[in-house]
Amino acid sequence: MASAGSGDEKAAAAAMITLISSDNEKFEVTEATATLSQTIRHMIEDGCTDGGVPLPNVTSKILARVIEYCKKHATAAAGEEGSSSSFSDAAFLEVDRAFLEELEEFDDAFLEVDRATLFDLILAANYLDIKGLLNLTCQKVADSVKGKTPEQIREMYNIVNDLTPEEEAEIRRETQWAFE
Amino acid sequence: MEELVEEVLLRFPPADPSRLIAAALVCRRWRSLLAGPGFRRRFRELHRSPPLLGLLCNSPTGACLLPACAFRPPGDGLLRGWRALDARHGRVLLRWDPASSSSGGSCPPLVVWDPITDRRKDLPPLLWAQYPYSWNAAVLCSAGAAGCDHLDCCGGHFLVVVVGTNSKEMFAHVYSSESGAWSEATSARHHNDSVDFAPSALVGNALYFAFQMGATVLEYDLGTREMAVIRLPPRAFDWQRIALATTHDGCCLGFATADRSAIYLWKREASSQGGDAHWAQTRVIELAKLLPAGTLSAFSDVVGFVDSIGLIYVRTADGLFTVDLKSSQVTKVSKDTGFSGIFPYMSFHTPVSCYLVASNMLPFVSG
Repeated sequence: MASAGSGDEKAAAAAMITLISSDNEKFEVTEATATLSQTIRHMIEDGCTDGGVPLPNVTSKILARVIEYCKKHATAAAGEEGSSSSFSDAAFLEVDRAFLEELEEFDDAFLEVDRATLFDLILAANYLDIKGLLNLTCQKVADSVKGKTPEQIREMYNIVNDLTPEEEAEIRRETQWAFE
Repeated sequence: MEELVEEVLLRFPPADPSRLIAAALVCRRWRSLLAGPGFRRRFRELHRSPPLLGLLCNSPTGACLLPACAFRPPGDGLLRGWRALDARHGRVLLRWDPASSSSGGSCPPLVVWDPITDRRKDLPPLLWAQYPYSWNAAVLCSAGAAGCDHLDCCGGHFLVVVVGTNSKEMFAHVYSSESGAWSEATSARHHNDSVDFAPSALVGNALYFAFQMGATVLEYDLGTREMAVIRLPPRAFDWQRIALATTHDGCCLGFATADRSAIYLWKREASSQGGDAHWAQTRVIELAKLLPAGTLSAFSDVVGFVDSIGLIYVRTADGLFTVDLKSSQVTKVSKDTGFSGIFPYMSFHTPVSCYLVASNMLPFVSG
């Protein structure tokens, strides 16, 4: 939320939205949680959320995880607004820091999933346009290939090598230092 | 999932360019994605701050690039007979300076080098109006701060600014790669000091060069082409070496200096009343707290300050060290202390296709 404060906005933040997964499971969430998704935010702005928001690309298993993420991060966003603008003394900074650490721990634990779930989360984050979640999950995949050779990356992600030996040799020749 | 491969590849760390190269070897699709202009642009926009790929140092035999990551320029990294003068916006400025060279009435040959593509551009000779007591030079993208974000402008036009002093005056020449020629010299009243061969700093539309005595700085305004002398805050002693820097927000001139007990960071702040800018000391780093006893037994001087990546380079009898401003961690970069002048080389490195290499530059043939 851009600015918490007026009575109307507070009421809006408490309003509930129903999300419907591809396997037809219904999830009741606050608007503050749902609007971490830009896709849903636009739907709310256009007034097309009555009767629930169908999400045909997201299974209930994945949607439950996505909502878990959004709930935690929506609270974090609200907490930041409350503390950063008017208080800057050490006690509040301490609270902020503790909260950020807790959020980091949450994110780390959130990413403890198998590869298939991680990919489903990326797809959902992309479809729902949740920047923080997309960044978190894509970074996890990017980090997972650290120190891996092209051959190992292909194996991990079932990719067929269709580069010709000449094309491979050209890249290796131009950037020899990367293989020493 | 296919369309999200790019989202993942964008999050590879710029400071480890070998990982993107490994990804380019996975399959054709990844290779063409990585070498495409779209990825190139988005990768830079996402990460914003170019990583440190290496450190240009001048050794007695030539300029060399001390690696800061896996990246290595072609060849053995030593440009025999050359000296680094500056590195900025992904370009390196070198001067030809073999032991036997005698350049007579003109500035030693200058080249601008792109270490990633290993292309060089030779500048036409610059004739001195009068043989200088001292001079220094800087390279920068020709588009000003407003016209370019400098994330990917290596192949574009550049300026080289040469400033110096002679018996009569201070002078400045500007080479523009667009016109392919040196400008007429501009001059200003003589200042009783010599410019140092030390890294310059670019702040807004002005370049700053240190004078040797450490009490003043030469300011060259790229817009008006005027020169001015800026006083530094009073110091404990003369001839104290300073390392100029652009502050990490890019807005102010800063410098680092040191005595035997501490490193001092200063920043030139604009006055709120619209008056003259003034100097403010922003940090004091106590060496005794920073360094384990005996590590830097013979601390000598600060030779570099890169506020954008939060590093200070110090030289001691034990070697060249970095001090990380955030973590206060000290790291030994080299055991060699024979370097004169060090220039951080910062640039993005994404797998490149040959067609992207600027066609107006020639391959570097060193030696």
